[in-house]
Amino acid sequence: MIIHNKTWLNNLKLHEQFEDDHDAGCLTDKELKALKAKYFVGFESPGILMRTGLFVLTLVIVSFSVGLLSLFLSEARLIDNFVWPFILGVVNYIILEKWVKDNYHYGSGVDNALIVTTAGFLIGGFGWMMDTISPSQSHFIAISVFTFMLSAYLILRFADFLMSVLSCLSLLAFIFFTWQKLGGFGMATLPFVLMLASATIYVFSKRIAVHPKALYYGHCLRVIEIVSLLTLYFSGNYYVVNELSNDLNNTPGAPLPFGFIFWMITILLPLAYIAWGIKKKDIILLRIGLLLVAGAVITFRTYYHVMSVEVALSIGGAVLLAISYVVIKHLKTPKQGFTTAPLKRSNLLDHLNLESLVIGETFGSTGTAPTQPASRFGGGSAGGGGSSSGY
Amino acid sequence: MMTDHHIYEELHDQGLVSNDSYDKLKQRRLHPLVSVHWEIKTILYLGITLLTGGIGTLVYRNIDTIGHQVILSFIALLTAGCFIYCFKHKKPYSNARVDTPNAFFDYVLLLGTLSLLIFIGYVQYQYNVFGNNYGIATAIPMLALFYIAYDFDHIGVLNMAIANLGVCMGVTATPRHLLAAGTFNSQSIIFTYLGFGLLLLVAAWVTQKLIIKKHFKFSYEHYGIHASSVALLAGYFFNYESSQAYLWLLGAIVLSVALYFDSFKEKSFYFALLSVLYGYIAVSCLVFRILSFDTVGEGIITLGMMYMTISAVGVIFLLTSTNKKFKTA
Repeated sequence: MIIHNKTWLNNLKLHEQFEDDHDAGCLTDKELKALKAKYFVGFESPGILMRTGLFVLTLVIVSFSVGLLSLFLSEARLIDNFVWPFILGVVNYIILEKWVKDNYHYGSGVDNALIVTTAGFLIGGFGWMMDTISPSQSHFIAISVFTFMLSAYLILRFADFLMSVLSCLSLLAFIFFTWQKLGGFGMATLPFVLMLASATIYVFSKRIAVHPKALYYGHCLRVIEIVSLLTLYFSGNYYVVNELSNDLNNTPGAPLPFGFIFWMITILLPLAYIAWGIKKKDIILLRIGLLLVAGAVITFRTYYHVMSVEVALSIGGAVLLAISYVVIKHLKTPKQGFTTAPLKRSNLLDHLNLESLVIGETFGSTGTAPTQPASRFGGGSAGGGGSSSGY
Repeated sequence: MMTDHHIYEELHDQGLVSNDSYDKLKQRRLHPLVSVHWEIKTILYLGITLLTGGIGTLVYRNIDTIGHQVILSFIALLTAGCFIYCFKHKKPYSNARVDTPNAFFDYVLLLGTLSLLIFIGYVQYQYNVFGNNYGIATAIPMLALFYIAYDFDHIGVLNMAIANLGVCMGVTATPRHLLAAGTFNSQSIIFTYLGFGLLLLVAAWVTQKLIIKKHFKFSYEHYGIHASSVALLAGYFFNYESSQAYLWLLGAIVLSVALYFDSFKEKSFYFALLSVLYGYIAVSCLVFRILSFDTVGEGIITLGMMYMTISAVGVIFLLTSTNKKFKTA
């Protein structure tokens, strides 16, 4: 099913393992080199920067060449029905297959972009076709089913992580639109159904990840894990549920019935993620849990203003500092399999000095505080001079 | 992944993994470790951001109700506390990279630096110590920042210092602000940006040439390449009507080419990518300028689309070959 060379995929897995052990200091540089040479991998899979660049450039090429073709054909009135995007999608797919086979691209940015454009043309064409067949109805259910099947196929064929996101979301969209049709009962139970569906997807991806046939799809399954954990939380988040139910029921500003259930989910679920992540030593759960604590705090502050922003910021900051201090002290020698020491000796984030750039961005213009004249050069509402208005 | 230990047994038997490494690998499998290094760093960083942001606003809001001396002495105490800690634990200065003494050090320093800035800003606001001299009022924090960055070897503070140098010259430095502010509305500000950018590029060059804190080169070049390239392109559009425009464009192309070849020295793909990107924009501006002459008439859209398709293919080949050179060289 998968298009890529399976021996290389297996070797790539080994490379990851070797590099991981090398980073942990268990293999010497020389050994790593010898092992990598022994297990050859011929894929074109450049680093993240190159990948992003190639992704954008490929999108540029596809859009302008399609624009050019459409321009030529528009005179002959060949492009004004849904067959045109289907043709484009199929041609795109053929190019994609040939490109990946001939050039051994695996996550190079070019293949990622061509997969996205293929999916885009075909889904767009499908939506157009449904609209042509019966213009009066909405076709969300049919489109989400089509999207799900297409993206599932593209995952199996190319092991593409963007399609993993799409398949996850389209499946949930299908459930959303179908359940909504049930009327009042459907509306009331919608959040729980979506949460149940997300949890099922999560468990499914966790279970299937250990299956030998899923070996090549490890990164896709990890993406699905992340997406399903996020959708699980946001299906039960008070703000999301409240806004969505008011929006769908046309009752702006109305409070949510059984709101306390959603408040419990909003506050407790991130903590449950963290606890579970620590117990299972699952870094994905832990990270998502930490991220969602911020989500819970923001949700809470949207509805209740127990203290002013600056007091909340100061206290929150002090608490975070205290927590990290305690954790660092506690883990000075590794405990229960956790450590604060960096296991990877070098990675791209260090290489790009990402942290320092963030510091530059956030604190770059705090320095001169409120004294300076608004603008040194005058002119322009933003002013060339001083600190950014954002701060 | 961690359970795939049998492969190492095989490799060990074949002599590809030494006894020493094999024992280490065994140990690692017996006691697997999960690192929360990045999580802790992020939490520390967030904590400092929130705390200083909160305190800064608190002070600003309550400036009339709390006594100035109280606020001032609180901030001064915080600053002093942080710096006493840092001076106590600091390793001696060296032109090479100095590793941080412990996990907390960098963040204590950051907290101290930020509260120092709040302190200086507050003193200036309240007592106007630097008078109305904009230059001095911004130069002093900037100098302090550069000193802290070099003495304690903190790249984050260096980036703040560079941004403050920009403030001192009257421009914003970070790429986000560069693009968001849209302040390229006068010849003088464009020249200021260009001067700022070129100054940083010179600083990057000197850093590398004299081998003073070589790892700081990245920051100088990062801000330098953005500021100067954006200024040159802005100069082109600002002077679009006059023939001077071509000079700006030429400047942008020359700069990109120079930086492209410079990136080979450090094998920094990031800067190769940036220089190709800015060079590509400049060349495209030129091509579309030529296309927009009346000679081609209606065909401009077709030709423009053809140019975009073909040139994007060209850039892909350029980037791919650059990437290969970096890998093999």
